[in-house]
Amino acid sequence: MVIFIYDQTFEGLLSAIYDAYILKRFPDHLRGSGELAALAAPGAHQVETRPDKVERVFRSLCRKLTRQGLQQILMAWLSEETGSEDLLFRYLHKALDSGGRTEKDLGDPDVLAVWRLARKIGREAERYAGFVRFQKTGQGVYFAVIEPRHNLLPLLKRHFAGRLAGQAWAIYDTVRHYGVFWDKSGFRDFTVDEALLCDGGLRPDLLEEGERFLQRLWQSYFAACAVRERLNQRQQQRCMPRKYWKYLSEKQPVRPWTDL
Amino acid sequence: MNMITEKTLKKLQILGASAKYDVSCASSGVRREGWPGSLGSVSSWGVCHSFADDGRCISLLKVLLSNYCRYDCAYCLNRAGNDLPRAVFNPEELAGLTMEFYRRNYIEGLFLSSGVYRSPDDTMEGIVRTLRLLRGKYRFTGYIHAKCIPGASPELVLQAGSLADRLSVNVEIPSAVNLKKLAPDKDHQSIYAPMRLIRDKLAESPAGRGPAFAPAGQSTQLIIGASNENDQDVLRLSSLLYQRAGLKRVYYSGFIPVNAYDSRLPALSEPPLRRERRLYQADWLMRFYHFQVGEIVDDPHPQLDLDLDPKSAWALRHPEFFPLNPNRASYRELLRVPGLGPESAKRILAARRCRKLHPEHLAKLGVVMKRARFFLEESHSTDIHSLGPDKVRSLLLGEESGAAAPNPAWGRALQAPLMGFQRA
Ligand code: SF4
Repeated sequence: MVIFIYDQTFEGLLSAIYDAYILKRFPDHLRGSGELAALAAPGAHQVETRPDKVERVFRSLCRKLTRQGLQQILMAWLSEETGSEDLLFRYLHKALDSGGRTEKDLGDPDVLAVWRLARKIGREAERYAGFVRFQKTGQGVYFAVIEPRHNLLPLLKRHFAGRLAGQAWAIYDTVRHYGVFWDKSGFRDFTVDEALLCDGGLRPDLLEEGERFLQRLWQSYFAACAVRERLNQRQQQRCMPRKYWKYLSEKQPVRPWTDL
Repeated sequence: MNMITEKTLKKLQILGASAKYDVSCASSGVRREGWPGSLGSVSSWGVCHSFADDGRCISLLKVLLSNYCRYDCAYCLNRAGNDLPRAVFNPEELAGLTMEFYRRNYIEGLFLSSGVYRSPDDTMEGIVRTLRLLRGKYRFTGYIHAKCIPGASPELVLQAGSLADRLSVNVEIPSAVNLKKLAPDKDHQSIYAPMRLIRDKLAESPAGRGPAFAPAGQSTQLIIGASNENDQDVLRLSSLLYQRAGLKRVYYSGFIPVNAYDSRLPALSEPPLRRERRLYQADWLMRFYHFQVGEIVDDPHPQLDLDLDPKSAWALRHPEFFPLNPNRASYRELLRVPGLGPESAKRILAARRCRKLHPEHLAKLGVVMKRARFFLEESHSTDIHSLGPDKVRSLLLGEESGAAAPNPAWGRALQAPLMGFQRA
């Protein structure tokens, strides 16, 4: 069995493709250099990630895939599902060997699987684009916490930079323990002491004074706009599953806003 | 903080609750990025920010500027004759509130309507002032949907259009006679005149050139079941509105019997939600599936089948059209197959150029085979001819789908930068 060991970056994946074509040896599995399984694979090929390899493979891919196809690969990569790196390797191999129609060939199980993965993360990202809730901190930064199944920040940061360009904001992923901070001109990654978080957001003493009243306004609007004659909480839960509620201000118990 | 006080809370409760019966509230149809320093972008797909207890998507902050109204429309909670708490937003207060909500990602933008408090022009002016504050003072580049108050002067309508993404004039009651009966202060003229004005203005300013006029077009709402029009009347009107008035959307709102004391209204025990849903499905058939209104409802069948979606109902009336071969049928033909939508049809067209498709492929491409199997070749011996339309109908009834509006745009809006991903 052929095993390649790589550094688990996207650039590493492309470098692995490059090596495979040079060596004319295609791996059955990719392993991360930090994984235990990598130790147990004597004779495995060690992939060196290098910009020239990445560049070369990326350029060939651009000839074989449309923008949408490339987008799909990136999204499938961000899904972080087990086995997705092997799947993506096979897909890229097929795409490079083909006449340029691979992404349309949904009758092929690998193509179908990549498409489905991309769709899955696309749906989660779409949900979060709506469900992210910013709280204004004492320093005037709008801060939100998310707990996504997939690695959504690379997708969400673009969305919010296009939307909330004129304010400083930060989104923190509690699953992957990193966040993205937008300072009105560029991004920075950051981490926080998670003791500062509580109830799906920041600790109340870190928030700006008027913040709780704003949340109260939103809660009131949320309650007022439901049509009683049409109550349908099953539909509500289907569209907005319970796991998101912890982070949604409108779903928190109504608290007095003056007791700060 | 920009005029937001404790009084705002009370107003928001009143004016949010009084706007809730207007259903035309999706943001869609345009795409716009913000620019440095601005606040707001518009996605071509409507983002849902929350879901209310009635299961409906909350996308825009939907409020009335005022729920004082001098008119007395029978179907409306805010009519002059009703005794209920009333309030008016100050434009500055409402613009500030919209911004605060937007900054926290509670909403996609603002939907602003109003009762007619002094005169149609006074009301429309209040709406325009709010919009101007948002676009000017707050540099808000997110989505705005403004309602045109029937009877407002053309200049104000045009000003609203130069600030809003979408305008709407609500028809509410489909026929002129019934409108006169239920809303004596309004007539079709006061509704269709601004609609025509907006249409002509839109035709003048093609998207992308000059300052955009209502780039997301105009929409309207029809109340269903407050008067006696049948589905054929309703859908013919919608079809005209789409074709002649160039509307982007017609919304259907199942009548909620708010003023039970008014004898001009039918006595309904509950809102006609099923009928409303069928009308939406019929509407999609006209907009996305290339159906003509006469194929959905005709003189022998003026009402939609409440038990079956209108496409299946059409398919059962036209067995001669089937079975279709998924490897050869055209896009438009595929769209006629129950269980198949625009997205799955496009996937079939792409995938079949690479290989011959079999039923197991189709299921994976998103075709609902439980419904489609009666209408496709190669679905073994279960097609509509061997079973007969009646049998197929009873089988379909068992499979009634919960299919919602097509959402063709997943992931297209959230584009990843092309490099630099690390697994966390
Ligand atoms: S004009 Fe509008 S707000 Fe006033 S009663 Fe009629 S429908 Fe209601």
